[in-house]
Amino acid sequence: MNMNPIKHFIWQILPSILAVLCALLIGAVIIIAIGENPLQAYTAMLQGAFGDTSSWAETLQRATPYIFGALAFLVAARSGLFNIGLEGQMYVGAIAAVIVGFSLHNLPSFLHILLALIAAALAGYVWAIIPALLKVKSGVHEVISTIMLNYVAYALTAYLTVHVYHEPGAVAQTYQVDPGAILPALMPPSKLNTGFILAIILAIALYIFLFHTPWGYNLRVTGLNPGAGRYAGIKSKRIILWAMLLSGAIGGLMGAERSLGVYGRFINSFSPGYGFTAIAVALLGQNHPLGIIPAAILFGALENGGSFMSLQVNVPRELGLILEALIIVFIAAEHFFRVHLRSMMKGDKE
Amino acid sequence: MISFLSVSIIQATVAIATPLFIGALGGLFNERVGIVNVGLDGIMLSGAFAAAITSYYTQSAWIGVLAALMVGALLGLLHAAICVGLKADHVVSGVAINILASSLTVFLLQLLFNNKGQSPSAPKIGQISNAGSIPILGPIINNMSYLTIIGLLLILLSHFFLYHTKMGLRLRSVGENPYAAQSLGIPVRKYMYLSVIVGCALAGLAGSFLSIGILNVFTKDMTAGRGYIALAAMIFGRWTPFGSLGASVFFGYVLAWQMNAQGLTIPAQIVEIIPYLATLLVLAFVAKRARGPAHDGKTFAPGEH
Amino acid sequence: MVHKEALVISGLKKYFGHVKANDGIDLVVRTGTIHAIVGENGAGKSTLMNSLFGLHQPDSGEIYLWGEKVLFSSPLQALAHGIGMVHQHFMLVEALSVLENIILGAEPGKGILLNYKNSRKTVEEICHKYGLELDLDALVENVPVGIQQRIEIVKVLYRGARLIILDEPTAVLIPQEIDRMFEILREFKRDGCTVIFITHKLHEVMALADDVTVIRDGRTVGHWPISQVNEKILARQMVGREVVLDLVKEETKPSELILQVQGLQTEQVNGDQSAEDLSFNIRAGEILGIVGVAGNGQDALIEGILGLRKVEKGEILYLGEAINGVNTSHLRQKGISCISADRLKTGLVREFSVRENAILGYQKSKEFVSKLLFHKKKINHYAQQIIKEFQIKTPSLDALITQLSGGNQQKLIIGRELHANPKLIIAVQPTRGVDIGAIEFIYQVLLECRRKNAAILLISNELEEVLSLSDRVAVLYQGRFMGSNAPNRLTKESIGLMMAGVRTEGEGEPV
Repeated sequence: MNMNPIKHFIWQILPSILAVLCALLIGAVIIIAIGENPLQAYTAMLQGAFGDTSSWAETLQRATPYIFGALAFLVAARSGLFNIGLEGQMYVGAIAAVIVGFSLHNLPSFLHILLALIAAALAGYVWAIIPALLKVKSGVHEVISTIMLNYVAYALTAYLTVHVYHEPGAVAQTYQVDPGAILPALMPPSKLNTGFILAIILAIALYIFLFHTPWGYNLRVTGLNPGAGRYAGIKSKRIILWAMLLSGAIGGLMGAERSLGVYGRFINSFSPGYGFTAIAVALLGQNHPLGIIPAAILFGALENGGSFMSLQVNVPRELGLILEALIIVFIAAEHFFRVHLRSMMKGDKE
Repeated sequence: MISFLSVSIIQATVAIATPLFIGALGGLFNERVGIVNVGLDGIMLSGAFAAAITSYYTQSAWIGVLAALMVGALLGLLHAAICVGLKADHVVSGVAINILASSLTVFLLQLLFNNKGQSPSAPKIGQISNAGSIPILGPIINNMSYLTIIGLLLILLSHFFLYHTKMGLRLRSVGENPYAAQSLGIPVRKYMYLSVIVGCALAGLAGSFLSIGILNVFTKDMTAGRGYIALAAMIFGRWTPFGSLGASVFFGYVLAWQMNAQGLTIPAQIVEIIPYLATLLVLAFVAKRARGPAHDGKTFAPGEH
Repeated sequence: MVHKEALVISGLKKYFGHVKANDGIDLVVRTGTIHAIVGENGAGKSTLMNSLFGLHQPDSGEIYLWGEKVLFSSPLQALAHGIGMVHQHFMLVEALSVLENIILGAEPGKGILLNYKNSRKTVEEICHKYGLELDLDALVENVPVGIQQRIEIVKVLYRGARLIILDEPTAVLIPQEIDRMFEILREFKRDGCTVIFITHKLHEVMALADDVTVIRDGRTVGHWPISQVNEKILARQMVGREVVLDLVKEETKPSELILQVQGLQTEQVNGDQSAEDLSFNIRAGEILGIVGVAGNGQDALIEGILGLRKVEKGEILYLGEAINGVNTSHLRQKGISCISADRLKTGLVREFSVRENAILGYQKSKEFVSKLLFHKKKINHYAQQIIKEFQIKTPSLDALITQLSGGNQQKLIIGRELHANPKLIIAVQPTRGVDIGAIEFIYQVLLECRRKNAAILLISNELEEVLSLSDRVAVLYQGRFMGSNAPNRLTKESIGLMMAGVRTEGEGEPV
């Protein structure tokens, strides 16, 4: 099977495209079932997502946490870990950024933001240390430990919001951050902010790191075959530790972008499940740092377009979320399809 | 005066523990055949939803319970098809189920009742009444939901099934080494499918307790992570029915005590993390002994291994 | 009346995609005989047995069992028809007891309940009859490998199998245990059972079988009564050409000391055998062969030297310099290379391309990295070079490593490990699971390295291989050397005794 690069590329992304198409197809069936016209609904969705510059801005704004989250997920996934604790890492990152944001004053904006982002990354990092150490020292599976830590993070941030940094309002929230700590908006009045640029830069940096440096190579070997890595002098425990910490730090940044760029403060349980949906984005993007960018934009579009659609036709906007879930289901199926098609092409060895 | 043991604490413990141990039992039937199911929370949510709206439309709580079982079983079929049939990653499937459940329930609420927050109120499952006069046990079982009794019976039944029947031995062998089981003529896939379906039906049942056992409505995202606590209880209980029950009662007690100790200086959020921290500690310090089935979370792919 | 032929297979075919795993297998097994099936790795033996055992269905062909035409869709039917199989990779549930493993799937009694009392009696009777002692209450995970095979055999007997298939059963046994196993198989034969014995060891065929069938490239090449063939004929039939396994081993004069190991004691890891006070030297231009039953400290020895396992006591000197605990990648740069035991587990990354696998272990070496990034051109050039030099058949550098045959995968590893002209080569099972063509090639390469004055530590389960390549042979038992000598001064019996832990007189010279 000797393939040229373009064919190879198409072969790579085909499953993702098919998964999206299958999900849209089922979505159409649902729309028909509730007595609406799927074409009309999808057109409205598309229009809502990409109709003009302000809808583009809103779509990219919604895509931003998914880019961060998917990058965080894939760094861990490439080293063989399933970081289902992004939600927790995001929460602690978001509140850490906000604490730095409202505690310091009269700093140059650039420095203030930088410090807040560092605090967020450190908080996410600390939140990832526990599962990473448990994994490396005691062999505790990270899926369970990170899920547990998600809830610890919910409770901790809720405690800080309600009892320590509470500011009265319609929702449980903290004080506002210093204006200098706010991530500048790119296209006001949209909440799209410089965090988006940061996310894109991070994606490119991770791409180079993973595929063009020996350290990235070591990380991938650890994820795919730690036994072979061991004989190649790669210390898998150390790599797992670092990958998980990097993942947690990026997870923390995901939270900081929301709190510094969108809300200007910490809002209790602000996340509609960013950390979990980001996993879907990472899978749709085939755990590739560049692949997740279009995947994240698609998810942003489904949600943004979904809101617009619900105003145009009588379909609840949650359809967008249902489509997201269906995409993951089909991604799983597509993996199967790919394996089988491959083996049919090359023939199974005994 | 802080009381550590009172009738109200005991009753609250039982109420909190019931969905946990039924859910944990559901998780156990998944993991005992080697299928990890982090979608337990979503399945409980779907069960809660199905129970509430079916109970509302039929005006019968028991038909609601039946609906919860069926919806759970259906999601179990989906999970098994993805993990066993398509050999995909178990956690991925679980995440998909969770997202599907939380979006689909809100979607349907909006469609059916034009309300994204909650369903109309529906008949709830009955409770033991007039048992107050029985000595000692009376105050405890008075007001106990029938579903709690059913859950306790299921724990007994599951223990007996797993450790004293041929099928139980075979089921356990599937989760430990499906290749060995297959070589002895045990229909591995069938065991996996059936056990996952039964386990998820139980998760659905646990969900029904949340909506029409304790309350009489379904509210958006009402599981609030109880599916994960159930998973934690299963691990804490070392993948055994009695262990899961014990862990659930422990978690239930901690939360019930906190509810009854209002006005105490310990904030609720701090107490809420106890189940999660306890599970983390158990995993950290007795990880070797707290070992799950050997093939848990792995893909069964005969001919490729 | 019992049918004359226990098993007749005709024209059996099984394709996986384009690969013809079985492409016309004919087999006739007489009732009450021991029938050997021989063939190279990948010849289609396992596929054939999986078809017979109902693990998958053949695409065409017929199977007759005691005259009755059968086609099994699951192992359950095969078991019900009296077929029992001892798999090469044991099929045991580690968390269950020995007794539970034996009765699993065939629990006694009609009801749904487990009854251990009855089953215990039945199992004990079987063990007693064949002299197979077992602790029925032990957990399988605590039982040594040799005993695990005993459990597998009792499992088959418990199910009342009349046709017993053993897939490469001697791989984990020492010579004396092999003799004992042969006794048991002959006893089965006396009891009227039929035995099919799958192997690639021809001397075992000659010693045990009544009839032999040779398979090559998925086809039956021929079948003979054992009296009509010898090892040479079988080898020729197996490979399809004349096999010259006489190696040209020039006399070399071992010169400078390359590796000195003194009193090596490694850390205990997860119940794996540690090295216990191992001492030996290897000089340039010599091959030191190490034999022993798998699990007697081979891994500890290799990993101790490579810095992969903690050394508790003792000293490892490489070119006179202590290398205790030095990282593997540094050792590779210093000229120590390792052809590891299991290529897909420790030698290669399945999901990687040929190019990416070609630098595994050397990924940080200066020749491939410049300014923190990989130097693509240099890597390509290097990969092309080893492909050419080691005659590796691959569609391209971008092909996935799993698209290559086992032999070509192994050649890539060897090419990679030898490209930097190492002074010390640790070769572990270098010919495992490759065809004879590749075996010959690998032997030539190793002898070439010896001629070029490399020191080679050869660790293998293939006794023949070690005896024919090595200048000296040492026997490892429970982490200790039982003795060593030049191969021509050792007999199989003496090696077997040492492998079983018996120190023989006169073999005690320092390694």
